Amino acid sequence: MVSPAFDPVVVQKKIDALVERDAEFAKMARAREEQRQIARFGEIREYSFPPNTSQVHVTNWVHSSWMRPVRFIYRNIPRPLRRLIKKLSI
Amino acid sequence: MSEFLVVTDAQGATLDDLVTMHKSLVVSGSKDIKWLVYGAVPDAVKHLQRRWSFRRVRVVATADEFKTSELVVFLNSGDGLYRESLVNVRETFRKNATADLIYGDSAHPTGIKAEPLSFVRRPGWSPERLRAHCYVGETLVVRADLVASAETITDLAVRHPHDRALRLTEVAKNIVRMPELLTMAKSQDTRPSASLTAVAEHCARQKIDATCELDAAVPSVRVKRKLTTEPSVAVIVPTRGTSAEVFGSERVLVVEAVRSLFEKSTYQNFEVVVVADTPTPQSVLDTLREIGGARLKIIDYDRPFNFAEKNNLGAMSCESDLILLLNDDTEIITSDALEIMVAMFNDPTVGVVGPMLLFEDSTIQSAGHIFSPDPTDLYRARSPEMAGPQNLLKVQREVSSLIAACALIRRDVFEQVGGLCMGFPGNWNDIDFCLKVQLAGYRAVFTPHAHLFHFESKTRIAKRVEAEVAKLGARWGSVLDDDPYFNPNLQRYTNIWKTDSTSKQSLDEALSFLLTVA
Repeated sequence: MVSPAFDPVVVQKKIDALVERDAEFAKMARAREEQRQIARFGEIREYSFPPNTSQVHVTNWVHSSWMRPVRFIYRNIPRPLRRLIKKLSI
Repeated sequence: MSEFLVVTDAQGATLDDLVTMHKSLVVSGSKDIKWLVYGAVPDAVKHLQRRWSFRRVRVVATADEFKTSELVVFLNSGDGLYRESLVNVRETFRKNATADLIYGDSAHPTGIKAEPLSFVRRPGWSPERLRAHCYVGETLVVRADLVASAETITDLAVRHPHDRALRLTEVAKNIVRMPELLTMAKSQDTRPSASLTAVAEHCARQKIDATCELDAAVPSVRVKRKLTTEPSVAVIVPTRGTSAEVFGSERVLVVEAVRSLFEKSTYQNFEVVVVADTPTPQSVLDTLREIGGARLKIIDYDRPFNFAEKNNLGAMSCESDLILLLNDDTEIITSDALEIMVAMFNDPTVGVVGPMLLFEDSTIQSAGHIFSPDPTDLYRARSPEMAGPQNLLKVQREVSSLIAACALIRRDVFEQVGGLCMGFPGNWNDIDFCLKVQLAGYRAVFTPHAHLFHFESKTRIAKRVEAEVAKLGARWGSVLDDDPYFNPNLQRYTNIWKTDSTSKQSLDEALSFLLTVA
């Protein structure tokens, strides 16, 4: 197949039409997104990727400094109480 | 009227299996279950009827009970319902008032003491994928009136799970994936089952002109659509005539990309539109003209680099039924790649199709995108020989987005959605485009049966510009956060399909526990 050679002016008009259509779709998508954000957060927020809360990045909390006294207390309480806490936490 | 009617084909089921199922139903979260054990021996039925269930489960042996139930659960013999899963089912139906079929995740025994269960996390509704294998699993929850419009309940009960799923989804209007555990499976095998006969019959019912082949090793069914017409394709290749070392020798990338199209492709109803930046060497353009002859058109591009604009310019400078966006650093591997992709457009709901792209060392460059939530090429840099979890790398399936390095698009759809957005000059114009296509009501389909090389650097990481993230998010934030073809229980910021462990929950649990103690 061979398509005819187009006048650059015609091509530019077609590209302008594409830009218009894109703007319409962008508007539609943004409106939908804003509705969802309002339903979820009650306001429109600027989007950024959420923090990674998957396994690999969250295991460190156990070793964080604020856990030290908690860990210390847990390790030094009577064993039956420790077992009870363990049982309750699972 | 009872809330749930659980239907099991109990022919050949052992009493142990039935007892295990009964136990699971007692703790499944509903106090009003009728259990139709179709085909069970009378002694087994009596035994089950005598079992203590806090009056939650009534065992019945005839299908008449179906008329007095609201929801029907098809449960395979030996499998159980996951603890409290019907609570989630009820909640899902409440949230989606128009839903008439629900499927969910499943847990499978591993036989390993340290990690006793493995989880199958399923993507959202993907009709193309269901034709390949029963990815929705074997437990389906359906509204009773939908069952009545499909077939008799006993006929459905004894059918192969793949056949049953296809028949029910054909009549269902709103199919919902519940990203929660629904089934406690008996089998350790997490791979979806596939039935060639079921798919062939489905294609006949849906008037899909195709031949079906079973790949028993995977297992999956390949639906090879027949090429009934030969639509014209315009191949748009943006380039600046760069050279690079590929397979140990220096080559001009665009020349070899175009040469492979003309020499290797079995589908020849195409023309090539090369959109060349001003610095493209004249010798390269001359060689391209030699290869392509009258079927090759060169468009000069003298503006600052904008990938989206270059593609739009190429697409608007020619006439064709389909548009193939093709990077200059590609090469055809499977000679019928174009044919396979073109044939997908027999289905008028398909808007864009993408093949599997491989790096120079034949590892996967792109097998469709996932939003996790950062748009990522699924299983990048892994072997294309691997089937992936639930065989997802071996089957045609819907995806949220495809890479524009090679994507075949219907021209009317391209024009309808406004082509690639020029506001994304380098990154994510393909993602934005595919999401626009889906917003317009068309599907984006990935096929693993067409292979091309994409000689992109393996170590290249696209620069992330926060302004572009915000712009993409302003349009598609919810889709990025919850990709319908992903699963919220999978690990984020990775390119593999891996269940997230419970550590996230354990932090929440630990904090709530500390608050309780305090």
